[in-house]
Amino acid sequence: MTQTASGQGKTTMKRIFSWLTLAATAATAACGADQLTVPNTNTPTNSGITTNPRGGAQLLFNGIIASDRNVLDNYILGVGNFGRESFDIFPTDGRTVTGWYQNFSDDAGFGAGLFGGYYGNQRNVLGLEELVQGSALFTASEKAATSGFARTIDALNLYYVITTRNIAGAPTRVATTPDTLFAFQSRDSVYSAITGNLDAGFANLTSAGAAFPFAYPGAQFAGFTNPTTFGQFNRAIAARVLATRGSLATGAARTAFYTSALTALNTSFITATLTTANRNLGPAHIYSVVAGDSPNALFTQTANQGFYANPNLQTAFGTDSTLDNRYAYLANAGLIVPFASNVTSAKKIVRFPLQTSPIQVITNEELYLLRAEASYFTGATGAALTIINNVRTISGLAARGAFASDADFITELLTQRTRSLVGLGHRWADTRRFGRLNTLPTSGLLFAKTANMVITQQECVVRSRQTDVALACPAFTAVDPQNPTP
Amino acid sequence: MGRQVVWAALLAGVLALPSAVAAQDRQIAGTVTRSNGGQPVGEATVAAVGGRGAARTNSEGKYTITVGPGDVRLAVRAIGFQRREVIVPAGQTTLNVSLTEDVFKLEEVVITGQSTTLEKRNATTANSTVDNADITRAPAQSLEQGLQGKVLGASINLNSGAPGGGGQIQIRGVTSILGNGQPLFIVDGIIVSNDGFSSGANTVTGAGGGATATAQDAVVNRLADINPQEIESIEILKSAAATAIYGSRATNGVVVIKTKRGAPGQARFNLTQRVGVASPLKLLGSRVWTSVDDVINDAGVADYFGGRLPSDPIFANFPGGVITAAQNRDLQENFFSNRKPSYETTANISGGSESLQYFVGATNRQEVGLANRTGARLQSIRANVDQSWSSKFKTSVSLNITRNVLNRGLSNNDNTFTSPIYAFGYTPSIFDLDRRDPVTGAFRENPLNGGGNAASNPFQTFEFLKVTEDVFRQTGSATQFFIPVANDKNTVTFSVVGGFDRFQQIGDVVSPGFLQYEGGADGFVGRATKSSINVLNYNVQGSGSWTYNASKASFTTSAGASYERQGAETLRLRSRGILPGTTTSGQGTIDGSNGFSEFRDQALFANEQILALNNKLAINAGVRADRSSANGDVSKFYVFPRASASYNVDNIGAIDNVKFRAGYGETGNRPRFADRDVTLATGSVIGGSPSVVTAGLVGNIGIRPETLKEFEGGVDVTLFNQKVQLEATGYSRRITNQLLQPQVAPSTGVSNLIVNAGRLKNEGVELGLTFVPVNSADLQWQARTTFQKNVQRVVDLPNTIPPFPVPGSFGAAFGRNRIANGQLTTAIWGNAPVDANGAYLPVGIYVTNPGAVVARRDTIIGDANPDFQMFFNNSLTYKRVTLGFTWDWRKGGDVSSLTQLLYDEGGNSRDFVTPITSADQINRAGVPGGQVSAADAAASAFPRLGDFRYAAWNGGQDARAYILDGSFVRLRDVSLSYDAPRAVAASVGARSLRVNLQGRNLLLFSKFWSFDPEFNNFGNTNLNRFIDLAPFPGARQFAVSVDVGF
Repeated sequence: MTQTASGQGKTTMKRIFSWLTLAATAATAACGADQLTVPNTNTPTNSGITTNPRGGAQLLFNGIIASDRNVLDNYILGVGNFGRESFDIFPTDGRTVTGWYQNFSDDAGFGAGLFGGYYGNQRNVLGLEELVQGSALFTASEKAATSGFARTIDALNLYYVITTRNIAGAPTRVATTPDTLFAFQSRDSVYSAITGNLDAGFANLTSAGAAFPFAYPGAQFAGFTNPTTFGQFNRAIAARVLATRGSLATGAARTAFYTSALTALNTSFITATLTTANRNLGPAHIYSVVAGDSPNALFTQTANQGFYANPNLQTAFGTDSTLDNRYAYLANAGLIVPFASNVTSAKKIVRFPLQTSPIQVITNEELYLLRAEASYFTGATGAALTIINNVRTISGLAARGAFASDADFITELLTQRTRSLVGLGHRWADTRRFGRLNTLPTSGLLFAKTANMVITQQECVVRSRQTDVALACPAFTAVDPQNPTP
Repeated sequence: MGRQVVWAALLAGVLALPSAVAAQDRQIAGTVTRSNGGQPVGEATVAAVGGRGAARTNSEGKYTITVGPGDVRLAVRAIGFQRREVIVPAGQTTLNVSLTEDVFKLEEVVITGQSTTLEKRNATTANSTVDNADITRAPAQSLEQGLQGKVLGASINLNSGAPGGGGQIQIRGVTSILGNGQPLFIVDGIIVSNDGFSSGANTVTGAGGGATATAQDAVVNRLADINPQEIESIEILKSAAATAIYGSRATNGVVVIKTKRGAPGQARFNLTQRVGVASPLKLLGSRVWTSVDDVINDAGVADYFGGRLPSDPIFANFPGGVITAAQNRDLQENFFSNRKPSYETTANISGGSESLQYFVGATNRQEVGLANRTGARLQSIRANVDQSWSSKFKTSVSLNITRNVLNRGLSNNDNTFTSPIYAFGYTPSIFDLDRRDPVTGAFRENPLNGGGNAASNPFQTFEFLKVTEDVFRQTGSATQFFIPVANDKNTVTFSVVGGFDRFQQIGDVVSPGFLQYEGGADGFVGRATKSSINVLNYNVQGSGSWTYNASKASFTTSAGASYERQGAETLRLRSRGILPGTTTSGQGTIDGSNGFSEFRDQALFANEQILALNNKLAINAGVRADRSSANGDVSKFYVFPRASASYNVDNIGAIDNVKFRAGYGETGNRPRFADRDVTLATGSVIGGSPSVVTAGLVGNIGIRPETLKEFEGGVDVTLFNQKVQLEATGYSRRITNQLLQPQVAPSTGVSNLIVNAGRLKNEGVELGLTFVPVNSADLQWQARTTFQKNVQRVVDLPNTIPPFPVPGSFGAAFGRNRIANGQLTTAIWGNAPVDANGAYLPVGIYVTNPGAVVARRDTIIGDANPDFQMFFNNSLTYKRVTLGFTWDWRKGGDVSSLTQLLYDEGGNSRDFVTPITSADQINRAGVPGGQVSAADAAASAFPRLGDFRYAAWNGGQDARAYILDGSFVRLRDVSLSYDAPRAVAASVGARSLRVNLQGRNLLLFSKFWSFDPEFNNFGNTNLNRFIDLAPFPGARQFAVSVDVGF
């Protein structure tokens, strides 16, 4: 009896329990997986960009210009340290000084930066090109204009990379898939790729119409915002790169590079004459304190931090400093940098007094100095002297006499470049390409000089798992447990 | 006034509910006493089994219960005693019952499923249980602090000493590198948020650059809103065999909190008033300066900008350049000098009839911070009501409203010289920053760092800066039970529980333009940031369970489904250059941000629980299937099975009982919001126009949950007639499909990918020894000692993923965790110098022989994971006096003490000029390469201790110099209570009266140089939890409290 009753009860229980549980489960499960789709609307999407290609192209274009701008001030700070031109002072973190001077060989340190951002912008350029070239909404001349812009910016980014990495070389482009690596190329190959990109870009710009299919935001690059004027900028950068290549080459190759540089200069924005009024003419990045915008990190209005002059820069101005109006780029600001460095500075670089001060990517005065250099090394030493004296006299200095030797010319050229281009990030590369790094001081206890920034740890450790033996990563990179012998 | 109205309305509403007692039933009355000594047991519940009728004893142990006319079985329960059932024949009207203490809490029930429980003696997994008395023994800044030292297997750390709490609970180590690292918190069936949101301190500190909010903002996780006074008990599920019932959110353990509820009987009113005061647990002191020359030459930052500092008027006080000891001020002591009393008032009323029980409570807690104008105020109201509509239907409702207002000031890292300890680290103690001008009331300018807006005076800052976080939170749940069948053979229960957790966090940062530091960095003078974070979480779950009692076994089958949603939206508005006298964010240069996150999860689950062999064998097995909006494939269910068993053997010689238990389970940890999305990124504004750039972090459309697989085994032994209990548990966890963010080569143009890869391997032991040395009528002593050790490594990382640093910390100059195959996840990696042979050189080599260094390696220089941790809990009761205390011993666990680095760089550490005479002074225990000899250090150019440390660190080239041992022994809490005799209580019209003296964080023994080795600059991070950087000091708290029951 008991068993029977229990058995009936069990059956009833089963039925009640099963039905009700199933009902509850089914009700919940009926919500369906479509309830689980939550779009992420916090960030822009590819599909959003392609829905309106013209609007999308403008946004991507803005992103490229902004990225280019946002790394320029940090580039100047970085290479300024290596070129004994400037200190980056942040009083409560002495590493902002010592990190560059002492840890330059540390692949996780300060001196290992200024790398990924340029390739990130190459990827931005890739995105813009893919969008414009793949859309029927853009005309052939607009597509040519876009390619001209893209190749020029690509080349400019690569120029910054190879200037910092020098003999370590660099990959020359990014792949469409994010985890595909291209091999490191030699310095000369990278320069060759830069020149190739600039030339191809210039050809594109020449065949483009009167306008880009996007507009420069605000006053960015004012005066260089259509394919024609942007082409002049392209040629200016080409001249800088060709002159650099010329200084690194010898014999006929040197002459050829410098000859090409002169040609490029002739189609750049170089003015008929050089004056104090037009010496800083050139495409400039505009900084801003508007919300979301970027201020100029080199500005000097914050007390006691920022962009200080290395004492060696003051030395470069020499005893005639009171006559030289370029001395206005410096201002008195007593400083003793952290005691580990034991270095003093009496000057701050005040080329950019405000957070909104623009930074020229390349100036008319630099073009003149490039012309002097190219003229000299193609045999036109008289023309070179004329230009040098032009620079000297507009600066308040007396004209000088003929160059006694190549070394004399180089000394004069480097002096004028140091003074005219102070705060624009050239001194390290200039002394290096003319073999004058040994003229720079070590600048402090335990400090050292270097000809190139190291490859970042991140690049090294990833490539250490690949077979890219050409990479010149520092010998003492991160310990890798799977490859314990560095 | 408004709060009082709400309170009164709630109370009135609850009390007005009708009770139902039939007049014709008989009454049984009696007394419940303690078997050992015969003292009355108050608050015991007497209830008729399987029928109606329930009552509660008064403070004299007396009860009266109304039952039916026939034989009835009465069950008598009281917290801390073994349950007893007695059959009362028809006609009997008196029953006196004596209860035996349940010293080891074997009769507590533990959670075994979404809707099933089991007595602890049969528990198949090693859950930890904490009750209200444990967590309220002493004043606590937040629940985490109350739990410290109480939970075997959990590492619980507060991130700083700032008022209002903020801390992290890690159970059995880190189970995720990037995913959620917090346990799942469930309060009365509601999954509550423990997220933390910055209120915008970064607006001032700039610790994270130019943004308004970072993880370094001393963020408070929202567990801080839970009022410990309302908690009845907390059960911590650790093993995957237990947590698997919570599916893909349970790899970090589950904390199930039950709040207090009413019991049948007349209304009980309880009032607790606590008043206390706090003082710093530890301050660092600073260098005693003796000469002006030293100040000019040694104060690191001071001398960067020669010329300004010596012109400070303070130097006129030091004729001849001599500074006396009395002319040095203790700036820290003067800054953290707030000793105003803190208080806490808790009142509750509970009671009810057989059919309806209620609990209504309210708390008002004001914690005064150590620094001027800092503090935390928690106000909470809770109403819990249980209504039995019939024997088949029961409804439980819980509602809680909380307001938590925090003023925590600034602390931790900064880049603007505004965080107080940061500023004091560089400021010589001769500067009277704390003194106000007697005429103008103005604070003096801090001349350090060149003065002006490059420095700050923290005394001025805290007087005028507003950094407020105001949280208004409502949580509620309702559970409907349907019990269609309940008899000796079968019990079928269905339940539907739904709950919500809603809060708004308002952040308000106002920095007036007249503060010294204003105008620095970005050039703006005066700034304000308003934040509004809106969170709405809810979950609903339906389940059914059927218990079938066969003659030799019982079977409980359960199944159900759930839906959960968590959403948060963040709005921030920052104004820079606000107008004088204004505090609103509508002026100046305005920028804002807005973002959201949302998760939606669905789950199905089933479970089978078997009790067999005369209740000796317990088996529990189940499965849960989850899918989530966070996964790449939102339609795919991920299945998490579990199984566990226990077997009890009784009475073997001196062994009362031994239980063997073992279990296996799998749980998950879903991806983060947006991990599945491949998107572009927002670039900066340029020329007034927006921009779009490539995202550096590339999402993964195939991302899936991490999966934890765990074996747990253990034994629980009770010995010597309930005098000793030993519990031992070992576990081995494997967390597969780790959510990782490996770096890719920067030359690809992106920085990181999101992938599932590699495994974490966690292994550990948990030992607990509870013994009762004395248990007489007058004296009871219970001592519990626990030991825990956990070791975790990364394994099976594919070759394509090279070592990468865990995001969210500093670089190799300071040490950070890196994920490297085969290595400890807690290993601290940083720079260490090597010689030409690649051998590590000793710490200090940059001072004694820098020429020997040929390179630096980024290598393992420490381990943040403690070797082990032990807790010692004691409770001694002599007659009416009870003494309870908790000691905590952590052995090992390295810390990167950047606070020490700040003081050394400032030339201002308390031991900066101490001559080096012994190796112990410069010891950096256990680092590769060892240390230079004391003799070499003493003979170097930096023979003074602080000077030597800073030079040895050498700009971060030897990060070992500031890696310190974080071992400590501390007295977590102490309470001394006196239960007044009934007559005394009655003399004030009360039912019970208890007076308590309480203390928290009373003693800390540690060689750690800085404040507290538990603190972490980056808040609740899974890893990188070892960065000590200018925290808010911890508080030593004392309190007196009085509990009165009516």
